[in-house]
Amino acid sequence: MIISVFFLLHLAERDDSIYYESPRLGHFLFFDQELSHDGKTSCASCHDPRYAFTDRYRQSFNAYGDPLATNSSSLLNLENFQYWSWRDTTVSSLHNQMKRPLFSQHPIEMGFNLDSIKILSNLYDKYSFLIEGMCSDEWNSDCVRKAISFYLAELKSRNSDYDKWLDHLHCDKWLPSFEKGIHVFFENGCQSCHGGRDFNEQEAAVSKVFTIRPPSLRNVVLTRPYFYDGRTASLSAALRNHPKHLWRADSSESIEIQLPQEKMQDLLTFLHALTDTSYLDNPLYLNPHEN
Amino acid sequence: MRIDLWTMLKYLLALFYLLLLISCGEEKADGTKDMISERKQRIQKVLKAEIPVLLLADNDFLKETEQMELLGQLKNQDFFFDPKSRDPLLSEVLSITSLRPSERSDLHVSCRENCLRMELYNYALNGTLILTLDAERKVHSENFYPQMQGDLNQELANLAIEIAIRDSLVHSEYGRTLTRDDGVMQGTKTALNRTKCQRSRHLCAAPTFVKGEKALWVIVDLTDLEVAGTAWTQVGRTGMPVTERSAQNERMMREYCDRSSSLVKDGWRLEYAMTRSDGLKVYNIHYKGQPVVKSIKTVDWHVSYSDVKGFGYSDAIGCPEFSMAAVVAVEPPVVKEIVENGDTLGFSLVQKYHSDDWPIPCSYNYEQRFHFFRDGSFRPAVGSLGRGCGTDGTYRPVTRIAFEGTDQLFKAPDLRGNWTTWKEEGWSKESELYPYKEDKCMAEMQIDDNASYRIISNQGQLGDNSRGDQAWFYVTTQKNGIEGEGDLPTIGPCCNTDYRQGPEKFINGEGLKGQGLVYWYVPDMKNDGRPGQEYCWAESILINGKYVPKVYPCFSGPLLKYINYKTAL
Repeated sequence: MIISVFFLLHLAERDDSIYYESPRLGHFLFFDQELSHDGKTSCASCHDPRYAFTDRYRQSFNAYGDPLATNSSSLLNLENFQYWSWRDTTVSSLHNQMKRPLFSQHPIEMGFNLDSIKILSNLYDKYSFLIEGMCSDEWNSDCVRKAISFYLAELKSRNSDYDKWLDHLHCDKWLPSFEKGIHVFFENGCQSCHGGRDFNEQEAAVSKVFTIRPPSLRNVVLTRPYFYDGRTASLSAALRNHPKHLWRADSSESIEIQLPQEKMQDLLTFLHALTDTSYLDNPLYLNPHEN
Repeated sequence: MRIDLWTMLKYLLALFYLLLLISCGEEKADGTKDMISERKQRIQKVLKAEIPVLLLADNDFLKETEQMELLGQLKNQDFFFDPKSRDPLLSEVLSITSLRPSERSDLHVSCRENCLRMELYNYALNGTLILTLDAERKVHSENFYPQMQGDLNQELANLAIEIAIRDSLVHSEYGRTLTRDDGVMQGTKTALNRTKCQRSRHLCAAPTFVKGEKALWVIVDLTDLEVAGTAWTQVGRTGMPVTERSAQNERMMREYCDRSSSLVKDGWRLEYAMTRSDGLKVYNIHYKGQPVVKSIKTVDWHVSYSDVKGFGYSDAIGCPEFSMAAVVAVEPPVVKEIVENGDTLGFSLVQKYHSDDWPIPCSYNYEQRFHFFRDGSFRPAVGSLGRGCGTDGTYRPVTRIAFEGTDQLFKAPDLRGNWTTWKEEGWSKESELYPYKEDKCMAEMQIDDNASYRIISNQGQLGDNSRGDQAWFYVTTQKNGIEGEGDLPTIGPCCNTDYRQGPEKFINGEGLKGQGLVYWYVPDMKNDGRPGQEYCWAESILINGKYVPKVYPCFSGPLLKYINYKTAL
């Protein structure tokens, strides 16, 4: 019963315009270091496909080694997000989210606006064949954001052993601990914050008190260290010390998820079974400038 | 044809500019020679020579003419020439040194005294050739290590920093002109993704320049003689140095490094000696009169500062007299008793290493601890005592344990927890799902019909508030004289995040039956410079008017618990 409820898809409010355009231009732009004013930083500098589009730092750095406020979150399976920032609930579209990495001044992330004319000119020279179909009226930073949004909307990862199990396909290597782990997950109410198909949707009652957006649990093994500030390096430590203040602004305590060792191991097995690296076989997810 | 005055003036100006360019290439304003131009000229000259090798100048053991003569005698000249076209491949002699006691002990019966070791790097093949020369200066053995790089010599370290400080983009990135004195770690190899230095495909070094709480890494490609890229790391608050290597007694070190020592204690008999780049090697290890382990040593330290960009250091530990490694032994090893609850359980052989000016940013401090217990168990532990060159790095030391005899059986579980005896060379990794046996036993090395070592995962017994090793382990067969019997070059790049840490290069499907086995252990330790969370970290703090180091160590290493089946019954 719990599981069947769990599979009801929640249709989050979303920017529909991003789903009908070709992702090709955005694919090139996402991996292009010329998108930054110093020519050394691309979106992929902090969102590496090998690590589910994260950078595995506790706190990400800009090109000058200055620390950013949080680490970079995964960019897979974005369509169910209600807001696209770790903290800012007003960022309700990918198009808006990209303002920070591209234009932020304190600290600078990519510094697009520091050299926007030159950057746009260089990009136009390279991608005019793609730009003309998409931004034929005016080639500007808005088109850049739009193109990357199209690309990001295509990034899906739902071919884990868990997905195979859902489809009644084999996933022998995890059984039986994996199935027990699913029950541990739901018995302990983990889905109230990590619900939905991608384990990133909150129940309505819970979402009102969140100060930090709960991340998806898909590929959680690849996205260490954990929490927005990378405070724990291992998944088991993250389970043991789940900080309460992430969803209660008035609390700085940690919730210790107290489970018998065997149940904890089953839960870990389930979380490991959410790993899917098959997307790395798809050229759309890899750096087109290296191929 | 009439040339007017203006045209003539233009020609003269062009000629003047050309001469200026040439002269700038030869000599700098301060009168010192331009190392980079000189190097390029040497390379062009060498590629036309009979053997295309950059020879080692000013060597105490072999003059350049002797080096050339010796290399001409090598049986296989494919190291120097393309096998098909016979076009020259550029190589360089990195070092020529006397064979250390730790190396003589292995194989070179005829090389007890006066033998030499010669290390050459091939820039085209990205591989290292190690020659041992006997007392008559004839080649005794030659071993080629593909995809492995020897230690940089002083000339290459100088060249690396020269390339870095002469790059105008580096100056603009740092914010001012840089000098040689500003750089550290220029003798340490590195890598950088999306360049030719990626996964150490080229020989690359990383002169690093600290600026406040950040460090600018200049990745220098010594194969192409250019800056491959730059990167910044956060290094935390800069303190004051507490140690100074130059203050050590170099003479004592030289005498200590050049001899082997023996130790008989608590049922154990063993020898130990310092290597040039594999740290302290403990060998000929006997327990209650029986030979049990051939040798234990730590061959590499891989230190990574970015999983995405893939840069860091491929570090080594060794003797100051014989190694260009930045982190060298600074005092002789000491023997300490292991006491628990008032009982003496055994002893520990401890060797410390550190770089200049530790614990300021971009300095390193490593420690080897060999624990030998009275019950026949042992633990080779290695640790980092900070401080490193970033607050968010990863340490991956590579330890090699070669067992005595040829009858070992290695057993480990598969993912489902079924324990099997490995038939071929292979590797595995500890993880949160690893199906340990009781006591966190991760594998077992049966050494004969009566005895075995249970390999117990590190559970924080080393007093460092351990965060776990998450180690890769590998089992390979022993080869006479190669694959680590002698001193190894750097076997893996700094920054691979998967099983490719170096030992996998020795896995080629060979069967384990009837072979002497080697167990390789590579932990994955994440450092932490955050206040209150420090790990693999150090800082200097002011106490009573003096700076003293405060250390937050991280140690790794499995316990090999001795089980005698007869007495166990």
